[in-house]
Amino acid sequence: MTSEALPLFLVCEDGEEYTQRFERFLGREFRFRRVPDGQQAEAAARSEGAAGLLLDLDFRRLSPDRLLGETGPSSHSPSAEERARWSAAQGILILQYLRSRGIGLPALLFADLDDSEQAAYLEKALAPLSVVSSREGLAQLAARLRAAGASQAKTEARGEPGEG
Amino acid sequence: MTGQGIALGCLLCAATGSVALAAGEDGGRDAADAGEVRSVSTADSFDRAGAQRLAGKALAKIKEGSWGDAAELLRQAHDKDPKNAAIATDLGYTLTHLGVREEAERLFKQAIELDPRRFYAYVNLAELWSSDPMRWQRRDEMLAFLSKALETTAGDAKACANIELKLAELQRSLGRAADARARLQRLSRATVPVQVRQRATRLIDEVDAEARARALEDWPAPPVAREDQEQLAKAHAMENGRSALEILDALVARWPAWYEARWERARVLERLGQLDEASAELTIVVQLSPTHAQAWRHLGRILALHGGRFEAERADEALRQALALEPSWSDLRELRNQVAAKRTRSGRKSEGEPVPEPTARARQLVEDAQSWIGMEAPEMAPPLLHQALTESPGFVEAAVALYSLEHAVPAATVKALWNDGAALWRLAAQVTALRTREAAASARPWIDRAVELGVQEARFARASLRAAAGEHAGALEDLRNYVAAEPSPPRLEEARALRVTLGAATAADSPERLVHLRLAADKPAEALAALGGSCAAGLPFDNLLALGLVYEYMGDARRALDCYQIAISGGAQANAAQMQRAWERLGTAAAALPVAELERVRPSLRDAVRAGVGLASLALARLAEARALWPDAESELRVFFASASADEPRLGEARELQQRVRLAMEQDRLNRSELVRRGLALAGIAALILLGLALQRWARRFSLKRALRAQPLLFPALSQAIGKVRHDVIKHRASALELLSDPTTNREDVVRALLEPAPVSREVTGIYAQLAQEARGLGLQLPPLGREPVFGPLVRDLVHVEELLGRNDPRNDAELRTLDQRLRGMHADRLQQLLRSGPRTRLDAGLLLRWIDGVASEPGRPAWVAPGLFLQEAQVAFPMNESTLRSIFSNLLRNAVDVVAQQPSGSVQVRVEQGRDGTGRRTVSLMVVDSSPRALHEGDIEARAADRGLGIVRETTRRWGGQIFVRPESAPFSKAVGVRFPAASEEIP
Repeated sequence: MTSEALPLFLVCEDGEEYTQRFERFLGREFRFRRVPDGQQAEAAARSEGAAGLLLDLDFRRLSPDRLLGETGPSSHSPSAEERARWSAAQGILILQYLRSRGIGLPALLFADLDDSEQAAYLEKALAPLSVVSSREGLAQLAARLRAAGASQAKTEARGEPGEG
Repeated sequence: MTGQGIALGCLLCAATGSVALAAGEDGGRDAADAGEVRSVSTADSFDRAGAQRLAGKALAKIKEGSWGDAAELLRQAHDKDPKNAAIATDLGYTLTHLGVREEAERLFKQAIELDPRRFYAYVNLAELWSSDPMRWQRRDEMLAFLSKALETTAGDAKACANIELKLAELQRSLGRAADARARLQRLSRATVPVQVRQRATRLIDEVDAEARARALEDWPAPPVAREDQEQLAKAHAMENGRSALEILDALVARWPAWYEARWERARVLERLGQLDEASAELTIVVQLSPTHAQAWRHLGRILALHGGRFEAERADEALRQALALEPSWSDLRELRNQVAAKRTRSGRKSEGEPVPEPTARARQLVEDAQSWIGMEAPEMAPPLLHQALTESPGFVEAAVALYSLEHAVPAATVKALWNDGAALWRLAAQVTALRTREAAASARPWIDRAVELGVQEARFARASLRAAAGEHAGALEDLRNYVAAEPSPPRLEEARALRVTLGAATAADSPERLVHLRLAADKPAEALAALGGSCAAGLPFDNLLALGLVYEYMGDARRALDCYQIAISGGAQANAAQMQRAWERLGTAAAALPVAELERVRPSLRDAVRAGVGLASLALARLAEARALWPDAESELRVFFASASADEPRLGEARELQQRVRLAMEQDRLNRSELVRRGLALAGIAALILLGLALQRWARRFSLKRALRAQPLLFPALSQAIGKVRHDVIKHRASALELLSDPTTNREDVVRALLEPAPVSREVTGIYAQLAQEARGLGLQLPPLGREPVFGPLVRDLVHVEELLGRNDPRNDAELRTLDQRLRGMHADRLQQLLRSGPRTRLDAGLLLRWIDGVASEPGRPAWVAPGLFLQEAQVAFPMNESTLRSIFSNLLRNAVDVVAQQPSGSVQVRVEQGRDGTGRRTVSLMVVDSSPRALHEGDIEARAADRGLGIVRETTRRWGGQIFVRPESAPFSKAVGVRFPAASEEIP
């Protein structure tokens, strides 16, 4: 299998840690492309034929003017209060935005949510989504990615678009 | 025209020899004058005898009051003897009486030409000018004319004295009180003729009184838009001075004569330490509102405490004015001895863009033109002046010279000067000085433009033009803006004088106003004399109050109190507002009374407290202190603090008293327990030593969990540290260990993940060291990392992992996998558990009510609105310790109560809610809802200083992982201000 034929996953994070780690350990089986904010994630999801979306939760390093708010891109420069609130949950806000824009890619959100009810709530509201805690290892993650890749392959074989 | 007995000097003396000047010495002189006049009439063809007969008949008509007939007879006399200066003067006088001003002026000038050393025409002319509506426009010409008259009559003491007297009166009528006063002062010397001297002395008193009275009139407030009034209220409520200043700068720019905005701005500037600007602003405030006692007080204090010696006079003036308005401010008396000064910066705005200086050639051309004019060949001048203006279109002197010849200014010149306010004003002033109707009409647009460009002199000129044209409203507006433009404008006195002619409303006379005038002049004895000297039953209520004020000013609080008591006891005729004023004065005077004298007025003080006078409570508190009735004193002080405004000068004294009372109460308590204490002392000391040793050992063994219990404020730092370990170490690096079991994994990648750029154990060590430092800042000593029950084993396992990886032996992989499971299992669980052991506060109605009581009973709280409660659940857990949550709540509540207390029927509600935010996270919210219309936005909170009110709430909330929010509420409320936190785990440690 050529590298172009490997399933592609978009990694949405404000740094490069996830992308480097996934490429280092899972790069033989999957391709990863980093997208640093919601709008680039949307563009890539529409054009790259990705098999799934991997999202970090916290985006404190992202420039404030690129943060998405509760209702999507902000028309104003966010206040300090909004910056703190939005960046702490940016992964969720990006996925909400993508879902509102009709992007139905399977998604994994890497977050240690202490509130199990919150995880269940999100998985239902933003399906298809799995909230992945840090105690889940790379092997389990690889299994999830394979499943998503296989699902994507079936979709493509049926000629259906990758967007919901 | 008042006719000071001098006007008809010649005619009356010639006819009667007695009436013109009251005293004999002047009458004799008049007779001589008449003879001189006759000798001046040199044309033999004139019918001088017939003229004198007609003049005599005219006198008779005047005595009958038939001024018209008199004028006719004098005209005939003047026709018969046109070179008789006396008859010309008398005709001028009579015409003045009939209001034929222009002809009168011409006749006086004619008389002067006929006999320049004869002073009657000068004084009549000066008197005519003193009531001339155009005198502000013509003042320079008038003053120069009379000054020249003084030179002409030099050597004639009587003439000089009389002309100088009239000159002073003219200056007074122009508002130049200082100049007039100086001139009159010279006329009060013993060498001056007695009538003139007496008149000068009377005028000095009048000038002083007028100046004082004018200085006390408030200028009418401009019609400020409601939105701007709301802006002012907003600025007033803001704690961040810089933000408030931005609003106030805009308000003052929009409404320069709105003294309330300037007052608020002055206070903000003072708060920010910008004292120069604050004092300049305060100076304008008191110019606009001379009865603003607080502004005088603040101005006086700033100048006295922060000024240099050049400001001493201004400081003293301000302090005196403040004391005159509020005699109880005894602290200002001490300041009056400490005044010092420095010159304030002038805040004048730019007056546009200056035009370039005229070129040397243009100057030469103008000089040449003026030479031609001087040589009586004016027709040669215009070409030269046109050339000069072509060379330098903005050359004002060239333009004026040309205007005098051609009655027009080239359009290019006006265009060149259009943005140079000062030059345009110079052009307008000089053209106007030509005194033709056309000149005035031409100059008017230039004056308007100069005003637009901020030339205050032009504004004053326009005010006087408008006043002369009967446009009183416009004139008043100009004058008001002139006064508001800068501190101590040069024509302030003139502006006040001109304002009087506009018929603007002035405050009614009252005993209190009379007292204010006298006290402002530092003449309390005169004030007492004017009011009858001492207080006694039967005197009018207002007089008694005014007398009390004088006694307060004199520092005699006892007599002041007597006056107020008499007023109150006989005050059946007084209305409620007057009675309230009397109670307030009584409280004020009592606060200054020595405590030994307070006992006798105790019943009155009780009544004053019932009337809501807080200072009476302070006096009662002092009395209670003197009698060692500590709880009573404390109770009275509480009443005082509840009613005192933030500006109350006696707050400091009250706080000191409160401190003394508390210490005394504490001492009492200690004394009572002294015997018991002594008995237990030895045992206690021993126990304390043992306990101290135990605590020391205990402290050394603090685990993070115990540290958290001992000092919950460590939690935000701990939470951050755990987050880093979970995210940066376990999730992103250590989790790579799992892949060792995958044969396709490159082992080197796993090694690099855990050891590069630095070993993971070192990263955790760094995180722990930072946490230990935070703990030390809170007075806690964390155990060494190896002995801490959560972080110690974690680091040991990480070090072990690093050692095994370093050996690079696949036989160790099984052990590494076990370690991986421990890291993601046991260690992650322990970290999670540690987070859950963070502080919790279970908030319920009982706890909230206790906190509300705490805020309500704070000393110095001026007003209170009892809040309602709304709890979504009976009990809600907040992820923080109780004192932190209470601090947040108290600040929110104080803020809401303070804004709502200004409403007649305001309401406040405390709400506790649970919910989920947009990301599905469970949250808990604590908010205070109020009905104040005063808007508040999250941006306002963001702008507040971190150490005050909502700024504290903002910082504390963020430190604990929460958010502060403002949201609109439906009626009767307007908004909710609150904090929201992630819900605390129900697992209580």
